[in-house]
Amino acid sequence: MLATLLDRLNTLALGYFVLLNGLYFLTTLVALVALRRYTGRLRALDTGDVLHLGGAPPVTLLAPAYNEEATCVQSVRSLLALEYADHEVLVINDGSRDGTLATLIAAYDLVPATRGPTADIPSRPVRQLYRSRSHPALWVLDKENGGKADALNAGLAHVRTPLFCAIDADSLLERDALSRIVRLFLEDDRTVAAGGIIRIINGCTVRAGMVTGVGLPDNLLARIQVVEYLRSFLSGRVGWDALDGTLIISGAFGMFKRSAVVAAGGYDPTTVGEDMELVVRLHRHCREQGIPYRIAFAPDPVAWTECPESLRILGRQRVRWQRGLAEVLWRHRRMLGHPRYGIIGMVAMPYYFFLEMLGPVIEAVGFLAFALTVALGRASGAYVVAFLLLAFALGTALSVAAIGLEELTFRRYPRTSDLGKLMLTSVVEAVGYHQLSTWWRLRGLWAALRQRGGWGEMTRKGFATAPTADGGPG
Amino acid sequence: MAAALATVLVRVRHARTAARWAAVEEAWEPRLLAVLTGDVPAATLLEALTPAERPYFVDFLGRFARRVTGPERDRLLEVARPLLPEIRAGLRAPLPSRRARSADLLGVLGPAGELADLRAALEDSSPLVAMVAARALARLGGEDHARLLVAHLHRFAPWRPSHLAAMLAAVGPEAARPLRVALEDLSLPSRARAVVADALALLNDAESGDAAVTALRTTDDPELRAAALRLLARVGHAEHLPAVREMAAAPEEAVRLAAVRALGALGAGPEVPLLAAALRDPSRWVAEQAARALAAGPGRTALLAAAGRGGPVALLAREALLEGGA
Repeated sequence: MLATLLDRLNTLALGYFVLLNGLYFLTTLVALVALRRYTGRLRALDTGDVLHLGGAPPVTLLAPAYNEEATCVQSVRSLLALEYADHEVLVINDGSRDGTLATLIAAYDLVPATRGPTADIPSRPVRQLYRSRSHPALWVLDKENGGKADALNAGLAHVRTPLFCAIDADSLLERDALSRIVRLFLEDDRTVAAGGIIRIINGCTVRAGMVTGVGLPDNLLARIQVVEYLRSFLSGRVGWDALDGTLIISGAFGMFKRSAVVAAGGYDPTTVGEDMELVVRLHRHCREQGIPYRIAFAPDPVAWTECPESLRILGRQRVRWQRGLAEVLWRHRRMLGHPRYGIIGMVAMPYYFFLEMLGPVIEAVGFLAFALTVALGRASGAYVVAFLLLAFALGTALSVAAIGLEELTFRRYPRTSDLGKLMLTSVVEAVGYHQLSTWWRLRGLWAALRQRGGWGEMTRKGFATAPTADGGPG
Repeated sequence: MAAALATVLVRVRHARTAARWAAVEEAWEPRLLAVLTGDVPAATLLEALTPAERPYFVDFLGRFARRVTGPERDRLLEVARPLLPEIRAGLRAPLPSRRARSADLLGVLGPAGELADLRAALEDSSPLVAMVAARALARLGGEDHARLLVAHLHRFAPWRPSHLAAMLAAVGPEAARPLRVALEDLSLPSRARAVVADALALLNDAESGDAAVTALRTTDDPELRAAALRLLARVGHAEHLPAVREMAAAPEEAVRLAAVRALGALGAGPEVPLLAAALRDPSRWVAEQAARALAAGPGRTALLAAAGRGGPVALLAREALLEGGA
């Protein structure tokens, strides 16, 4: 009886393992082709040239801020300095308990202003709207605390431009990031949403709110996340975009057509995965209403973000992400396997549902079953070693492949030693970190079942890193 | 291991290639400058090139050509002339990005003799190549190119109309005449005529007011109507106001919005009641535009009165008064 059960569980885990890694390899291969095509297109149709010609729509940058006193002034400065013909910045102070608002008022000479809502998107009450006297393109909306999605809704209700860009207040966009992401809207008028790549700022040199030197962090946990992000964006999101199956646009950097998001009802404040939820709902809304649309990902517009360097904070972040994923997929489970939703319903949703959402459960059960099988002496030593080696090799190979994609295309890490460090990190990541990540995801799933959450505060060091002699972080 | 090794090899190869071409370009630059200033004949530059260097030299010239004008540019084109057959051959490459690159280079390095190739590239199976060719032709200017681009607008159907209008306007003032004709051409699709109207607005073509009114009266398409109204807001006169007023009551929000903007731009005192009524338009955008038009013109008194009454109209009025008019 136990033996049969163990056999079945082992088969399930093995099937999951083969399917997941097979899909990862498939998206990596698709991403390779897509990235080659994309970089060729970039060479042929220079972004600066496209925008120089004109016709680029005005953009509002929505930057929700909660307890961002340490970084808000510099972040806003970098947003104001972005290279884009017509953009305004709307910071939404979501009832911060620290001095975020006072800091912004003092730094940018903010005065109370009038600006009526442009859409009926509910949110917690707005206390006051401010406009900068020194930078007329800067507005700050002060509201009662309601969470990130609620803050974005308050901002969305005040957007006056055809496009808006949702970012995290602590993210630093590269100077040409807006131009690069708006290109997707110029080239295809059906585009309702587009995401850019998120890169890790830890280890980079920052000057005047801009990343001036790209490097790797010394902290191993942060370095592991660099590899993770490369894999997730260059292999995963590029691959899914090529298949027209983009289901996630990171909350740290996404551009949206205002009218489409308003028509879909804005952000959902009842989930911690509001960024993914919005994208899924846009898919659903457009498909159900028969609206031609496109949701795209571009690997060249870059937002830099600080990643956690402690296990405690990283764990909290990953628990929140997994919880958000589970909430969103469960809420839109109607789309699962439904042909009406095209590749989203038939491929992307099943992938995320069974492999990403339920993956940690299958993995955990697989670990236990495998351990029990070994303990009961039902697996030969050679089989055990071979399986573990295969799992390790596949995990490492996928990470190395992502590093290879980066090397073939954008080469943002200029030092050859960085390349070596990334490779080594890929090896380390497969042992220990992956299992830890599974544990966090299990907790996230459990949290989704129990419905717990919040903003997920992170202690920020701030970007004001004085450059050191070797160009590394100060 | 294989992937890691391949990645390292890619890095090493790229580093070597980049260093090599940086050194070669460093050597080319003073020699090219000597040619551009007329100190050295153009032919000497090409004679020193190896066959492997020629494609890189073409790229190098392409980048340089965007930065020079006048006689220096003429000399640069002279340097490029023997390379044109190679560039033209790129138009037959299997990869669209390669064909697009060739079309771009032809536009920059061979404008005098290569127009036929660029025109043909408008028909390329890849929309990317067609777009690059269109942009190259727009940069070269000329009435014929404006006509040609209008005729090929269907190739760029997915592109945002405002960008297409900007491309047509990049042809320059000589595009105005054929664009006016196109705006009145009922055989053209409404979307193309709307793009043309926006291009004329970007060109501030003072003579296109009548064509805009014709467009307004010969279509039910809201996109074209809105574009024609945007054009009138830029270049219209008092005699165009009756056509604009009719549109202020259109069922489509985009049309009413453009009409209110045009009324604000063209009208004086007599339009104030119409704009004041538009403050209560069900569309927030139309009402806001009306408030801005009133704030910028002779309707400021009416707006001040509205600002004192309370309700959503008062909020709009205060906002427009604080931020200034349209």
